[in-house]
Amino acid sequence: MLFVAIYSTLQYMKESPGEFEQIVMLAILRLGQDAYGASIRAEIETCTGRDPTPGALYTTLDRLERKAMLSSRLADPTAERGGRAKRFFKVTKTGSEALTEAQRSYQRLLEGLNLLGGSHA
Amino acid sequence: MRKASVVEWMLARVMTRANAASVIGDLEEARGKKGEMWFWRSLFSIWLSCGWRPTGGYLVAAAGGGAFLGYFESAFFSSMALHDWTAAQRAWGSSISLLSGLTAIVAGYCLIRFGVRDVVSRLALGYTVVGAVASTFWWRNEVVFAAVSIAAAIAIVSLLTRSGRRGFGVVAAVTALQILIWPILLTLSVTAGKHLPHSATAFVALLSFSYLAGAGFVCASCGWLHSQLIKGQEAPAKDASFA
Repeated sequence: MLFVAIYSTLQYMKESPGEFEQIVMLAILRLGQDAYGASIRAEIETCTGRDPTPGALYTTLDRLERKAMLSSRLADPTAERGGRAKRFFKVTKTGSEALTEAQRSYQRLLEGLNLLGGSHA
Repeated sequence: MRKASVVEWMLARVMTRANAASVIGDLEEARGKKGEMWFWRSLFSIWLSCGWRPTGGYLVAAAGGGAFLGYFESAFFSSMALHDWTAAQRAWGSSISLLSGLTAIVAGYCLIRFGVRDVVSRLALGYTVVGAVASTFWWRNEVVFAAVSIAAAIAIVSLLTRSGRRGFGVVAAVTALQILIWPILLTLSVTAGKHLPHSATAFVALLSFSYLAGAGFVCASCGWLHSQLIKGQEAPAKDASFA
């Protein structure tokens, strides 16, 4: 009993990504191979009309990477960025599963409603 | 080789140099379009967002951890006069109260820096709580036995999973590091204090400086070990696409 209690306490809680985390992961998935800080911010602005503050965006990227929902790699430095490399992001299997589950929850909540059509069932 | 700019250096205080360079590169891309004001506001916002946790973690570890360490030790020594004890109980009580204080410093830093869901935070907090109970009732064998059993159970359970093993490794390594560095710092401070003019204030200032520097070193070591061992290392999904 004691071992079970400690084991469950020590395990990472299966986390559901928050709204902004989902937006960031969806933007990365949409961008495919070209997902780096500036392009992710631009994609979010285009799709949602919201311009996320860079502080919120980079801490979210960092947090998602720590949760193993994202992975990143540094590309070769380019002259147009003053010799600075782009950091490209990719959604991991864990991130993909968490995002799918979160979206399924939204879908279940939307069932029986016709919000997009403008009327409630 | 490219020379890092001042802004890059500033950002590298709160994240890795490689990440700081890529973030500045991202901001530089939009600088022409969005303007200087946007660039500096964004830089400040990133610096604040990324910097408050390590800074806050250090402050909590230094203040809270130090207070816990002082409390455990003083509670142990002050209660010695109130109870009958054996040499073995005294040895256990002293060790447990010291270890609890050291894990409290790790817990204080990790809870702020990495959050309560983090495996290192949980392990350090668990050991601090168990140690607090044991060092409060150090003269009662059954309480100490139960606390040591729970501590052993936590260790065994944490070794069952990879994240648990790594978390336990971080807590154990940082605690061992503290066992090593605090006596060294204390000895150095006392030795240096002998060369100071006879002033209690100067000596207290020297001790405080040593303590704060030691706490900074412990927190930096904990953060570095955590980044090396705990960071998610899962491979990217092959077909993760909603497009």
